[in-house]
Formats: sequence, C-alpha cells, structure tokens
Amino acid sequence: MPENTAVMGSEEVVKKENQVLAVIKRLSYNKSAMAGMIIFAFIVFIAIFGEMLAPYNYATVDPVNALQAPSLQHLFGTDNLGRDIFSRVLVGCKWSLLIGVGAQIIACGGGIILGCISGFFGGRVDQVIMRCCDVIQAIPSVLLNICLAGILGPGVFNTILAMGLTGITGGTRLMRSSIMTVRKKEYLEAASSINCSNSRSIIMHALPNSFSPMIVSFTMSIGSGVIGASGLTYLGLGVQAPNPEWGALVSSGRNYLQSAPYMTIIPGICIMILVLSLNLFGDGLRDALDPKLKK
Amino acid sequence: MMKENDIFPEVKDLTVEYVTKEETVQAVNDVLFTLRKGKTLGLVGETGAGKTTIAKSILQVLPVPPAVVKSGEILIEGQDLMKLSEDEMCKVRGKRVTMIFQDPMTALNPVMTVGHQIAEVVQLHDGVSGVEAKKRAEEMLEMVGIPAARYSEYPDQFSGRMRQRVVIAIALACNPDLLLADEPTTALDVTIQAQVLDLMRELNKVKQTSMILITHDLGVVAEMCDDVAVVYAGEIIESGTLADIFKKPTHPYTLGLFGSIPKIDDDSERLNPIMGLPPNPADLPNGCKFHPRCPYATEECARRDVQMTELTEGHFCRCLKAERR
Amino acid sequence: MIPVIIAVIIVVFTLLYLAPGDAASVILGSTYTEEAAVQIRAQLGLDQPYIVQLGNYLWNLCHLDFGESWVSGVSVASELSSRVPRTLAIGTASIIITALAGILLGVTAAVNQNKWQDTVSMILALLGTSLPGFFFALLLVLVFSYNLGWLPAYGMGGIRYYILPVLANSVGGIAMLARQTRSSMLEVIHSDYITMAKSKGLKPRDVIYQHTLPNAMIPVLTTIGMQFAGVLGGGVIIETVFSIPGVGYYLVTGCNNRDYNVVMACTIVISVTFSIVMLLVDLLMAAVDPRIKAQFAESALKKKKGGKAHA
Repeated sequence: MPENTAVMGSEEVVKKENQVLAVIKRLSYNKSAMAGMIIFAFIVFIAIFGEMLAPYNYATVDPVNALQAPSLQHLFGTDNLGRDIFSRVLVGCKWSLLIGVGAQIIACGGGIILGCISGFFGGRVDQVIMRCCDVIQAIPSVLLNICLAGILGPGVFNTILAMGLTGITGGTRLMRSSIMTVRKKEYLEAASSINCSNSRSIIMHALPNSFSPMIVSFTMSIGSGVIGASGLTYLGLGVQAPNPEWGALVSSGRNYLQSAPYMTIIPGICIMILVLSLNLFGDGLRDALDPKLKK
Repeated sequence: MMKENDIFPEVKDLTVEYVTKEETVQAVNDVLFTLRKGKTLGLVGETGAGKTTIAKSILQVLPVPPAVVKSGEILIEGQDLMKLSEDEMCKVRGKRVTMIFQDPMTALNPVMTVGHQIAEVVQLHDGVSGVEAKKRAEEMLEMVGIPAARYSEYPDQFSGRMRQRVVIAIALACNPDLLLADEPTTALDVTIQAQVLDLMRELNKVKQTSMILITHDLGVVAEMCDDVAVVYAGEIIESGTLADIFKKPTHPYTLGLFGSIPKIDDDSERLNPIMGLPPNPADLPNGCKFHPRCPYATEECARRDVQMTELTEGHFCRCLKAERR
Repeated sequence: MIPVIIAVIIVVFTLLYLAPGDAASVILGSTYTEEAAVQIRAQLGLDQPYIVQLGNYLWNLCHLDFGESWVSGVSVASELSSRVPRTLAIGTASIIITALAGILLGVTAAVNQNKWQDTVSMILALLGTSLPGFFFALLLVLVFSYNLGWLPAYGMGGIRYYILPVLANSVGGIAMLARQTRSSMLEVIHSDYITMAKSKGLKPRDVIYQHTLPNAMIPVLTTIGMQFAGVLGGGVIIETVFSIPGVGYYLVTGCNNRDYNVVMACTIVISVTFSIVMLLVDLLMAAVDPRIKAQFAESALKKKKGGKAHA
C-alpha cells in the first residue's frame, strides 16, 4: 500500500505543476497581460535602481534653475525649488510602489486571517465578523481612509497603515466567500474523516484552493491603493513634503499648474502607467486563473 | 416539386467548428441527413457528440464567436436557410422551425412572466393584438397542463418540469413545420415524460409537424421515431429506419449502444459497456473516429477515412466492415 | 439599516475617542494653560468616562446637535445645513452621469464584442480606472479653465461651477461601470434563455433590449449603488481641488486642524447618506427582480408564521 500512496502523491504534484503551467501558458497568450507585466517589471526595476540612475540628487535645491521646462539637461524640467523632476520621479517610484504593496499586504494578510476564521468556523464567529464588515463598509472607503489618516497623522508608514486597515474588510469578504465554496467540497470531509485538525484542514486544503481570487484582488488593489494614497497626499493627510512619492509630486505642482503644468502632468502620468500595468496584468491573471469566466 | 415538398428538412455537408485561441474543436463533421414531412428523426449519441450543435445550426442560433459554420446547406422546401438574411431567418425561427431546449432551468428569461414569454412569440409571428396573444398564450398553458391563472408568474415560481412544459408551449405556440427537440424529456420524471411524449406525438400526427428528436435514451427513440441517425464524434455513423437500426444494427458503435442496455430476458450478470471514452473533439483520431474503442478495429481503420455505405435501401453505415461486404 | 447607522456612529466616535489629540489644546491654541484646559474639558464633558460621552453624543445627535467646531466655535449643524445640499448636488449629478455613460459604454462594447467599438470602449475604461480622480480634475482645470478659459477653475456660483467637478468625479465610476456592464451583458448574452429568445425569431435589437438588458442590469444596479460610495468619497477630494465649500472640504479642513467634532459629523452625514442610498437600491432591486421579490415575500411569510407560533 505505501507504494500506492507514493504514486498518488507524485500524481498530485504533477497535477499541480500542470495547473501552474497551464495558467502561465494561458497568460502568455494574452498580449495585454504580457504588456502589463513588462511595464510593471520595468517600474519595479526603477524602484530598485532609481536612486542610482538619477542624474541629480533628488533633494538638491537650486533656486537659480527653478521652474524650467523640460529640456535635455532636465528631462522632465525642474520644480519650484529648482529640483530635477526626472530624478525625483525615479526616486519617488519606490515610495509609491511601497505604499501600494505595503497597504495590500496589510489588507490581504488581515483579510486572509479574518476570512479564514469567519468562513471556516461559521456560526456566531462568522456572524460577528460579517456584521462588523457591514458596519465598516457602510462608511465609504475614501472617507474611512481620510479619517484614519487624519487620526494617525501624516507620514509614509501611517498612510500604508490607514490604507491597509481600510482594505481588510474587502479582503475578509473575498476570502470568506471562497472558503465557503471550498468547505462544502468532499476533500474537506475526507480531511476531517482522517482526523485532520481544523487549522490543518484550513491551511492544507481550503487555503490553496481559494487563493486565486485573492491573488487577482491583490494585483488589482495595489493600483487602487496607489491612487488612494496619492489622493490622501493631495489632501495633506498622506506622505509629507520632502518625500518625492508620485502623489506628493502631483500635489506639489498644483500651485504651478498654469505656469509649469509639466510639474503636475508628468508624475500623474507615471501613476497612471503604474496602475494601468497592474490592471492589465490583473485582468489577464483573472482570465488565466479561471478560464470559465472568460467568454 | 412534389419531392422537394416531401423532404423537410434536408441537411447537407454540415461542418461546424468552435474556434478559440487555444484550440479548434470539430463539433460537427460533414453531417448529412434528410427527413420526410411529418416524420420523426431520432439523433442518438453520447453527450458531447455534437447533437445540440446540429440543432442549433439548423436554427442558426450558435454562439458566434466561437462557433464557425464551415460549410453546409440546410434546405426546407428547396430554400437554403444558410443563404437567408438575418431578417428572413427571424421569420423562420419560432414560426416554421422551433426548438425545445435541453435545460428547462436556464431556458426561460427569469425576469419576464412565463405567459408573456409565450405571448411574445405568438404576437411576433401571427400578427395578432396583445389581448389576442394573451388569450392564445393562456390556451397554450392549459394545453401543456398549467392553469391559465399562472400566466403572470415568473419562472422562479415554477418547478423544473413545469418550466419544461412552458418551454414546450413556446415551441408549439405557432404550429411549427419542424420541431427540434433537444433532450425534451431528460429533466422530467418518467410519468411526465410519457405525457410530454404523448403531447409531441399528437402534434406530429394532427399538424403534420416534422420532428428531430435529440436524445440518448434509446427507449424514447423506439417509441417516437420513424428514422434514426447515430452520431459519434460529430459524424453520423449509421442511419436508417427505426427497424434498420434496432433490428439490424451494423456499426460496432451502434452494437455497443445496444450492448449497454440491460435486457429483461438476458441472464448475463454484467452489462457490456463500450470500452474507453469519447475522443477529445479538439484532437480527433485519424481514419475512423471510433477505431480506438472498436473491438473489430484493424490497422486499415486508423489509416483511411471511411465513407458511408448503403447496406439496404436507406440504411447507411460508416464502417470498413460494411464497406467490404 | 438603523442598527447599521447607529453602529457606524459608534465606530466613528470610538475611533476619534481613541485618537491622539486634545480638544483643549486645539481650542485654546497659543493661549494654552493647564488650568484653562481642565476647565474646557469639564465644560465639554471630555473628563467623563467613554460610555457617558458616547451616550451624550448620541443623545445630542437625536436632536440633530453635532456640537460646535473646536476651531471656530460655530455650530457644526448650521455649517452642515449650507454644505450638505452642495455635496448632494455634486453626488447626484455625478452618479447620474456615471450611470448613463457607464451603461452606454458597456452595452456598446458588449453588443459589438471584439469589434472596434468594444476595443475603444474598453481602452477608455481601462484608462479611466487607472487615473487618480484629482489628477484628472487638475487636467480638466488646466485645459478648460487655464488654456481655453471656458469654465471657472474653482469656487462656487452658478451651474457652470459644477461642470468640471462633476465630470472629474464621474470618470472613475464610468470606467468601472462600463467594465461591469460589459461583462454582465456578455454573461447574459451567452445564457440559454437568450439563445431561446433568438430562436423565437425576435430581431437582434429586440433580443438585446427586451431580454438581455433587463437581466444584465440587475447586477449593474448594485454596482451603481456601490459607486455612490465612490462618488461621495471622491467628492471629498474633488471638493478640495475645486475649493467647493461642501461637506467633504469641511471634513478635510477638520482633519487637518484635528477638529474632531467636525470630522465626526461629516463622516456620519456621508455614511448615513450612503446607507440610505443602498437601502433604496435594495428596494429597487426587489421591484425589478422577481426572484428577490419572492425571497422577500418568503422571509416575510416566515416571520409572520414565527410570530404566530410565539403568540
């Protein structure tokens, strides 16, 4: 009999690998998803090496060369203090990305834990968690963001925290609903019939099977997180002045909108490209993970 | 002229493929059959053999994309449906040719009253007033055994078999010349099944409606059909009169189908199922499509395409065994 | 709905109760002395336990008394009474434009699946979802106010002052709704009952308008309701961009000044508005979808039966 189980085990591994391969294959057919991935990879590259690539120090003030239009010397022009916008954009990239990803890690992490508890135990625990979600989601998310950011005060970490906490309810609902669909399936019954403990059942069985909607949501939400954070920054509740995060760059340009529109437009377009690449990739990922959805 | 009127419909060389980025599925390959007016043809085969696709391509309601009709003529009274414009085709659908759909749970519009769904088709084709259409729809409901008072209820308030009757009422509302019935009784209880079949048979007799009955239930075929065509992997592999197929089945697949029905006077302990699984329609075998599962397969079966052979008049078979005889 | 609103009020109150920041120091500003601070806290009841404060706040709320702004000393309720109509006007106009444009784009895309109309609509929608609302607002100001000089860049006045804010506030919603409408339409188009409708001999136009649209609109309706949250929330930022003295602008000023009475009042007003909208959407859904109506009727029946059993 041990032979038998060994065979089954390896078959399962092969099946898993095949599934992953199939997803990758479907994804590679999707041109816009690939374009999104390439752009995103490029943005990650800039986030890592931006500081080295920057031609000027992003913080050096040079009042003589203030508010210069884009030229060969200053590719994206200079701002009101004479700082090179190109360098600021390169350096700011990592902050924007950090905020988007960081907030999503908090949101998804919290969502997975709460969603698992809620979806797996059901009953009263589920009731309590879901009612809490109802209440919190009755507050429009931008509003909750603003409140939390207002309470926590400005700063990169507080912005991440505010965005992340707001996102938890959505993550919880998503995780719960996918667990609910999985928990009725036979393999969980099989798991409990061979005396798997609840936590083991969750981790070993339910979690991997309900993961794909989570991955898609994670990808797509990074983009909306970046947008949300830049909005907070614009209101003066997010990232503070010397930090060259893209949202901060856009808002620092608003007073010079008429005289130096490039100060606002260029970082804004950068945000748009970042979010666009994530949306493209996320769309493709969703179709690849669940081909039934695509019609 | 007489002869053309007699044959209704005639399907020639119908080939349909489902084309997606990843694969091309050959759902129907060179299907050819004729049906005499007022008769019933049974299309028999396993799930996924392409029966429903044949019916939907006669009505031209295939989902495009991914479906592509590669070739084919569908003649009713000498007129090729494939050559009609969309506007002309709209006048054929629901009036001259109607269809009973397979799954009653999904075939009705959930936000429209069942009565209106019947009245709609009457009003559209018979050009009557709304009041008149409503009256006709109520009559139709009564005819299929649903009280007319339930006219303004929604499909959700109906059980599966009542919905099936509504679907049937819609298909019969305009006295069609040709009725395509796609597994009309699969979702029903045995007793209701008999009622529905009686209803269809009566229509067949009284109104001279020709019928194509799609099913995998050989019992229903024996009861209802004049002619039978056996479909395998998108091809018709044997066709003939009911007697031809039931008394003298020739193709190994047809024989296999009969082998997997339990017989009351048979002593053997086990059924004889057909070995193996239907082929993947995206990757059909060369030569005879059935040879990987066929107990009589020879090397030649894998090598060359097999043509239809006429065994006796009107009894065709697509098998090398029959070709050699 | 009312329990949810009360719960929202309690959540917001608790958040701000726990928040760092001191009313006395905000009110006194540079004239801060320890003595005066203690006096002010006693005056406002801030030295009392949490539960008493919460009770007081809820009690005052029943009389529509939101307290006073810590910074200006003006009654929050009177400020709100002039600001709420502006915010509602922007919100309502935005949601109407969002719904009309989003559905139009989505239906066009779905009906012409894989043709150029589909591609163009979906590219527009994708760009729309990728654009921060305030950035789009700034672009609009740049083009229509500064460069073309057609419309005012900020402030209040006639209807002209509302055009740019409403446009800027709608773009994200339009994009999302267009995508949702398209996928909902496609799902319905591929369903059996649409094949059935086609096989009845209905003209393609009638199949779309009589059978596909009513079914596809049901999930879209919920999305429009949810979009109201986006419009109200986005309105906060848009009001700030265009310096429109609405509830949102008030909220942001309150946040920046740590004027928690104002923050609390604005959050509650907007959340309550959103809850009412969602309730209306639920009722509308029941009116449109017989399945939901049947569910309602069923649960009502059960309640009745339960009541009788208890009696």
